[in-house]
Amino acid sequence: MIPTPGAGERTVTTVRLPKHVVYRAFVFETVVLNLESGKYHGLNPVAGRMLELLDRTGSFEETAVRLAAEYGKPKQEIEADLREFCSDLSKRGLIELIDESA
Amino acid sequence: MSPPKSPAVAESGHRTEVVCWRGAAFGLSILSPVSLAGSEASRRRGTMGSTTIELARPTELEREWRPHEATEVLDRRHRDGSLMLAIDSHPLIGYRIWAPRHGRHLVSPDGSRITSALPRVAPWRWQRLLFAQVLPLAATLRGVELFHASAVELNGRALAFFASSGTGKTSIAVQLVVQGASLLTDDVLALEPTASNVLAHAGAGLANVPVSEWESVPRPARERVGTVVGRSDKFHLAAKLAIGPAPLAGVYYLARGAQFRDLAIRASDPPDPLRLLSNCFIPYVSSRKRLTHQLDVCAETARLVPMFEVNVPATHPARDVAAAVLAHSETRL
Repeated sequence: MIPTPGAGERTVTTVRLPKHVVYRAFVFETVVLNLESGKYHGLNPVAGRMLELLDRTGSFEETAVRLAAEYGKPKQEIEADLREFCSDLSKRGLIELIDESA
Repeated sequence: MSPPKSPAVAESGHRTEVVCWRGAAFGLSILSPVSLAGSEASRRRGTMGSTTIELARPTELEREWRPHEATEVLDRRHRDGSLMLAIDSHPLIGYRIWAPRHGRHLVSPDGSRITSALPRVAPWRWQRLLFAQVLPLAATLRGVELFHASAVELNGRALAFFASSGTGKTSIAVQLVVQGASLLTDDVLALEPTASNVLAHAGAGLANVPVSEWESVPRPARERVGTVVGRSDKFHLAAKLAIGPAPLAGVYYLARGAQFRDLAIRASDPPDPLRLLSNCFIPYVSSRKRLTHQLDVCAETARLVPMFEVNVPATHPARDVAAAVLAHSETRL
């Protein structure tokens, strides 16, 4: 679970894809495959982009900043969506979240 | 069936077999001590690896197998409960495939070697099992990705047909051959993504055609498809296959039913990746390497190859569907 920071607080969350998870972008969908369970998960284009950035940057915060710029939305709004998305993927064992806040 | 060609000797541990047939199927080069169906197969060479078939007596084959250390992979039964097909796996020996009256086979863990005990029946009968299960498993273990689909080659390009069993994949492929295409594969399609396209490889030299479909083909046109070598609930043909491989120009998903009033072909928009994935063949090979490769091949195929839905009214003849696909491919691909 990624904590929601209070006023003036700063959180640092590292995001990692486990070795048993691979994903590939299809035309209008990203497919995530859990190699341990053999189960496929489908992501819409926005969720696919979220996962791609989380994987590339390894950082919840940096992903939120980039997405806010790409989609022209307030960072808080993006963070809320991204937090829910990460929480869902984490519950399914598709990403690992490490809270590195001081 | 063509006579043995280019005799050679292949050493394989304690056995020495005369290799008398060289050909290809599913992208694999195949060396075999017995001739396999498909008049053009001997002209083909696989580009995705090779596999060697050697013969053994059933007792020899069973001596090599360790049933108590094996895991059941598949057990398919007839309605009366008798065994239709059994597949078991062993981490060191590989896979054992057995179908009564169709033969039994050991496939090495890397797919490079097949040891076969063939029954004394008409060759088409044991070749059905070899082409439907044994060689596809060997190809999968060699790293080839296979799909449950038929395909034809037309003007140097491949068209593939995906559908559930009984929908008419083979019938449409046969009718396209009658209308000028060449058969690339009847039921199992090997796809190989390259930098710029996806190559469709020729499949088995044995095609299994519904009786009514074969009887609807005018006699002079039948030789374009192949020669009948046997009959069960279908006609079994030594197929005249295209040499292949050919770049895949289009994938057609066939759906047949009373809910469709008119024949219609439309682009899959958006294409559903799970439809491709669900048509992957030999699903029981589920190593991480295979699953990752499977996802790669499906992603590349979805990216590079246009896909279409073909809605076919229940009673629409395959000949008319083939004509519509032909016209569609000439104008839209």
